Amino acid sequence: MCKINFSSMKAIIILSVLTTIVFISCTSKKDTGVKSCCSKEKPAAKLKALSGESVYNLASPWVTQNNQSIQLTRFEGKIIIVAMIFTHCESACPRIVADMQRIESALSAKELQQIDFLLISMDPERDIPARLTEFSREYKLKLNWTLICSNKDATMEIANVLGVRVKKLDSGGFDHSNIIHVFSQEGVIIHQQNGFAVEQDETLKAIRNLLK
Amino acid sequence: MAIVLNAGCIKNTQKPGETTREKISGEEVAVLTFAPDVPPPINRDHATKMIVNLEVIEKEIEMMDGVKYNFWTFGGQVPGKFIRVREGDLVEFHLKNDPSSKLPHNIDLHSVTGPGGGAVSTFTAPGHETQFSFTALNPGLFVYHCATAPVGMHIANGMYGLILVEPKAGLPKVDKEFYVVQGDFYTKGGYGESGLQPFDMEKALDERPDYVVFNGKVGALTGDNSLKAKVGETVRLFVGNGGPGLTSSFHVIGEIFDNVYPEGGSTLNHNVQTTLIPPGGSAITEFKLQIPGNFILVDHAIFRAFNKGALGILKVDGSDDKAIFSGQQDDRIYQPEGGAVQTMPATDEKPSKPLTKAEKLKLGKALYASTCQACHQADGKGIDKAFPPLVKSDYFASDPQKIIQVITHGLTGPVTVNGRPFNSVMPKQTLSDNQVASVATYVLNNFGNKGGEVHATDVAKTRK
Amino acid sequence: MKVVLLLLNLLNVFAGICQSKSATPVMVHINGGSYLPLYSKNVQKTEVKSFYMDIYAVTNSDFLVFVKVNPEWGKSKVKSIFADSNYLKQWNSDLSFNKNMANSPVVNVSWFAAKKYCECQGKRLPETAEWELAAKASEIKADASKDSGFNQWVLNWVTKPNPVVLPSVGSTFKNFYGVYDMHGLLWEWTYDFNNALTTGESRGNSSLDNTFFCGGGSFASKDLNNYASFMRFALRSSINAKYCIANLGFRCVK
Repeated sequence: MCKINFSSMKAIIILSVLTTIVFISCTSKKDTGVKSCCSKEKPAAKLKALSGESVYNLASPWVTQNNQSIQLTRFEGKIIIVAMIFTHCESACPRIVADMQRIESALSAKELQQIDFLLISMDPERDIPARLTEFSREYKLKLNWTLICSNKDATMEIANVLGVRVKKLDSGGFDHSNIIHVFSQEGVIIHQQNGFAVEQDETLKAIRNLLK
Repeated sequence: MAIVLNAGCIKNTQKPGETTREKISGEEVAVLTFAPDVPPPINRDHATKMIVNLEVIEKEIEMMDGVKYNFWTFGGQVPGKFIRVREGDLVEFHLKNDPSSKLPHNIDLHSVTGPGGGAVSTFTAPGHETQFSFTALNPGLFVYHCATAPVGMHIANGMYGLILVEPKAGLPKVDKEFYVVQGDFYTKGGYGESGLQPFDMEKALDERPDYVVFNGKVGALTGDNSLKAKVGETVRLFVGNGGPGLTSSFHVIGEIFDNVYPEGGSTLNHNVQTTLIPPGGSAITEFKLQIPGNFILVDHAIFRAFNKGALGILKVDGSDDKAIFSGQQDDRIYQPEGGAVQTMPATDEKPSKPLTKAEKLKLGKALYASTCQACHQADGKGIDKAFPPLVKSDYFASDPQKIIQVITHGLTGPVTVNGRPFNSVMPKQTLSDNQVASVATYVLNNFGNKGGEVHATDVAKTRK
Repeated sequence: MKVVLLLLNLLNVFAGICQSKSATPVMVHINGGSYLPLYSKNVQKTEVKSFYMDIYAVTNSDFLVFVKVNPEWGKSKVKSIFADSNYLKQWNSDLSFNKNMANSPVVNVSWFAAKKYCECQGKRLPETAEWELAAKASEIKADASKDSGFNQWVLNWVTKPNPVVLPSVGSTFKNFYGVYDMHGLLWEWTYDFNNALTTGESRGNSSLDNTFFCGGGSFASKDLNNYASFMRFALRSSINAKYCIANLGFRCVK
């Protein structure tokens, strides 16, 4: 299971657990005591005013293939090429990664200085950091590639923000949409490439439009 | 005399499937119309970008007096609005789904070459708008319809219409163009059952509609809503069939289609009485009007026309032409061929005692009414040139026995009665002696005749 | 010290929560069972564990309480990534709406807003399988899915356009479990609505376009006659999480 590093959030954990116990023990389940800012997550780090459309408005916690705890704002300031995949995927995801690599090889070294690549796992149960590392080795992904995982809820949330449809199968795999997204430096989705083996000219154009 | 319209204009100079893509110049917003109206013919010699805005509106409309139904519509009515573009045009299509809609909808236009006919790209949630573009590669008259699951139900609720892609050279000019779409509807209640009728899934699966109508309701094209034209005009009908279940046998009573483009394609047929239009298909029919009157549009699977509503009227005004159609010229009695003198069916013969004069008059009156009146009339005046009068008849004034002869033996050939000529066949009557005596006595004593009496024994004598 | 303070705070909070007892329970127990999603092989029946479900959909009044405590979810403040421009369209302002819709279900709320609301109640949005399982119930039985009368009633509602103001919660029917308005009032968000994978083309879905979707599962649909469930599936396929739709609200489960 993709474990979030909660070491700095113990107090909030205790509070949440105790509150849940109280709920269960109350005979009435009606709750007029709506908590304010009831999120279990750490508030997002101080940011300059973000566009309402920015993905970096999400405060969800993520872990990288190197076991680093991060939030998505970590990627702010660079152009990000993003896709949701799962490492045990046999057909589509390898194609998506290959398409992203094709985009990478079409860009110059100078251009790539402003660009990062991000793979988000839709399979928190199996795609733990060690597995993500193994995957990136298999595909010879360079240092500018980050692979992240989180809990089920954060995964669902990011999928919905990205508009990616995901259906869990009995086999443990997934049916899902195949999309490569381009985030601006502010985290706004400015382009989506749907399906694979499509012409990447539009995507390259969108990326180059953002280069400073 | 069938008028053959200038069919040469329809022929494309290139083979079907081959298209040289024209350059797109300019853009315009397409004019869309509600049935039975059609947007004006395209008057352009180049391809352009046509912007089409079509909204989906779910609403309750009357199917017929007192019968309401929840229709899902393109534009607010069934059928959906008519779209008219030109071969080669780039169509920028906007599908808008009213926020009050319960469901998402999309559109499949049969004129689109591409996935789902556009359905994939136009899946629209309530309160949203989607857009896609397509080039109208093929000319023809095409159906469009919603293709959201469950597709059958979306179509059954009225989500269809027509898009005409005019060939590059345009269509020959006609005087009137009309837009007619047949559809079948499936309701819980039977035909005419009032109230808000829900959709009946089972009947739809079994293809057993309660309503088969033109343009979305019973009477959409009748009475004040009849199509109107004038003698001498050429009419073109753009006819579609939304289905979902039934094929139409489209016919206009009293007219022959001079031209038909079967299936809305490019082949031309002539002199057609009834043309088949499958669900999801169309036809273009053209005919010149030569006489006035009401010409009835029907689905010739005839119970649908008279019992389920598949009936519309084209009212044509103008001057008559009796040579083309005379109207009724005559209505006369018809008697089958065979012997000139015929035998009436025998009545039961019972030997009976002789009757008194009074009895004969009474019986005679009844017999006259049942046997003689049909021809000689109640007032005995007969019918001029057909049946001689009995009133003050000079035929038997001189010899009353002649009545007996005529009744028992019939009369054929020329005869003059009261100075007027007759030449008919009177069949002999199969009556008993008493009956003959009675009716003869009745005649002699009525209709201004001189009176007298006929006896059964006299009648018997004439039979020998 | 911190821990003591925390515990004291907790006690206060508990007191507040537990004092608000109401006479009627607002969640009921739904027995677990299996649910066969549309467009899946027989073997892909989903086993649903027992759960508790809100008996009513969340109303405008309920949602107002939430917005007061969480002003970042107000109509003028919500971030566009979490809700489109129709968010709470029917409200007059961040904190007010016409009295006549107080007990109507809140609509024009996005999945993100609905999810947050449920979280703040210590609950969650129902899974599609949970929702559909509870929705199988008519007034008198737990599984009315083969009941053509019930299916027809549901279908009748589904074919009608929305009224401008939705009727109050509780105005349609109470099902076998004691849950109101599972049909006949509004569509409802589910947690995993985005597992409805279709393209807009509903006809070729037996072999889905493999470049748009990685389709390991097959897509032959079950139960072609239950048209209402098709429609819910179609609706789920057509929406994105930030959409705010005039007939789409939600309820929570636990």
